Amino acid sequence: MSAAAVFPSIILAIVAAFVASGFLVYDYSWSVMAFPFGAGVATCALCALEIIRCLAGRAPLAEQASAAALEPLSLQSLAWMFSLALFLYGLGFVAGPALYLLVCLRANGQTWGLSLGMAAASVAVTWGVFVKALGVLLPLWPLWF
Amino acid sequence: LRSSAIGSVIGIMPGVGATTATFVAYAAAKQTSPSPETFGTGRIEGVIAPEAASNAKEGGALVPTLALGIPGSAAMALLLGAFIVLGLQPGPEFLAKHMDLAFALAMILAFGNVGSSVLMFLLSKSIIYVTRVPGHVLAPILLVLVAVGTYSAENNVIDVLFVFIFGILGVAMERLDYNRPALLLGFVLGESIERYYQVSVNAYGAWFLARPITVTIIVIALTFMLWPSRNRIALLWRRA
Repeated sequence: MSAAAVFPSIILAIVAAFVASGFLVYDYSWSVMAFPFGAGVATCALCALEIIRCLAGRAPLAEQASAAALEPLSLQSLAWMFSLALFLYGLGFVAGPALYLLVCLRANGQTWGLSLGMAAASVAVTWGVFVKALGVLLPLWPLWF
Repeated sequence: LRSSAIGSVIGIMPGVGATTATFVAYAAAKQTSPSPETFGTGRIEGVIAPEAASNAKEGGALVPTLALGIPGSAAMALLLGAFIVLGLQPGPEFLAKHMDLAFALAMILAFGNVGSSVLMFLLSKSIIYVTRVPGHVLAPILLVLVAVGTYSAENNVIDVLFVFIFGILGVAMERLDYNRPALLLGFVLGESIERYYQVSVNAYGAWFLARPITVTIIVIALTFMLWPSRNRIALLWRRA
C-alpha cells in the first residue's frame, strides 16, 4: 500500500512545484494562473487524499488498472525488451535491430531459420524502406561513434 | 453506432484531435458496459468502439473543412491544401457553388469506409493468423518497428530514449496497478488544453470559466462523467 502512494506523491510534488513556480518564478498574473491554480489545488487535494488512504492501508480511490486476466511481464521478458536500447546505441539503427532480433529470437527458442529471416527482414525494412525508399536519415553507425 | 456518433461529433470540432475521438469512444463503451472491469483484457467492444469512432471522425471532420475552411483533422488539412492548389476555396460559399463536389466527397468517404469493411471481412480469416504468433516473437519485432518509427518522425534519438523512459514508467504503473490509459489521455489532451486555455484567457480573461457556454459544457461533461455512478451518488446522498 505504501508503494502505491509513490505515484500520487510524485504527481502532488510536480503539480505543486509547477503552480508555485508560476507565481514565484515566472511571476504570471492572476488572470493567467487562475485556472491552473484551481486545477492544481484540486489535483493536489485528491493526491493528498489518495496518499492518506494508501498509507492507512485502505483501497485507493483512483480506478485501478483492469489487469484481471493479464499476467505481468517477467523480469527476463522486460530485460529482453529494454535491451533493444543497448543494441540501438551500440550498433546503430540498421545493424542494431537486426542483431537484436537474431539474438532475442534465438534466445527465446526460435529456429535459426526464423531468427535469420527476421534479421534479414529487419535490414530490408530499416535500410531498404526507411533509408533508401523513404529517405529517413537513420543513424547507420553506432551512436557513440 | 454510439461510437460512430461520438466520432462524428468530435470530428466536427476543429482541432480537438483524432486521438480524442478514440479515447472518448473507448471510455463511453467502458462506462456503459455491464462488466467494465474486463476492459483491457481483449474485450471486442474495446476494439470496436475506438475503431468505429476513428473511422467516423473523418466524416465529421469534413463538415468544418468544407463549410468553414477549417481542417478538422490532419487528413482534412491535406485535403484543404489540395483544394487550394486546385483553385477552390473551402468556406461558406464553397457549399453554395460546389455542392456536387461536397456531395461526391461525402459519398467517397462513405464508400471508402464500407469498401474497407467488406475487404476486412473477406481478409479476416487470413489476418487472424497474426494473433496466433507467440508474444515473445511478436514483441521484439513490434519494438523494433516502434523504435525506428519513433526516430523517423522527427529524426531525433531523444524521442527513442523517451520511448524507453515511458516504457519503464508503464511497467512501474502496471506493477502498482495504476491506470495507464488515464496517463495517456492526459498526455494526449494536455497540449490541446494548454493551447485553448491560452486562447480563451486572451479572448475573455480568467473568468471565461463563468461564461454561460463554458458552464453549460462543464455541466454536460460532469453529467456524462457522473452518470455511470449515479446509483452510488444517490446512495451517498440518502445516507447524508
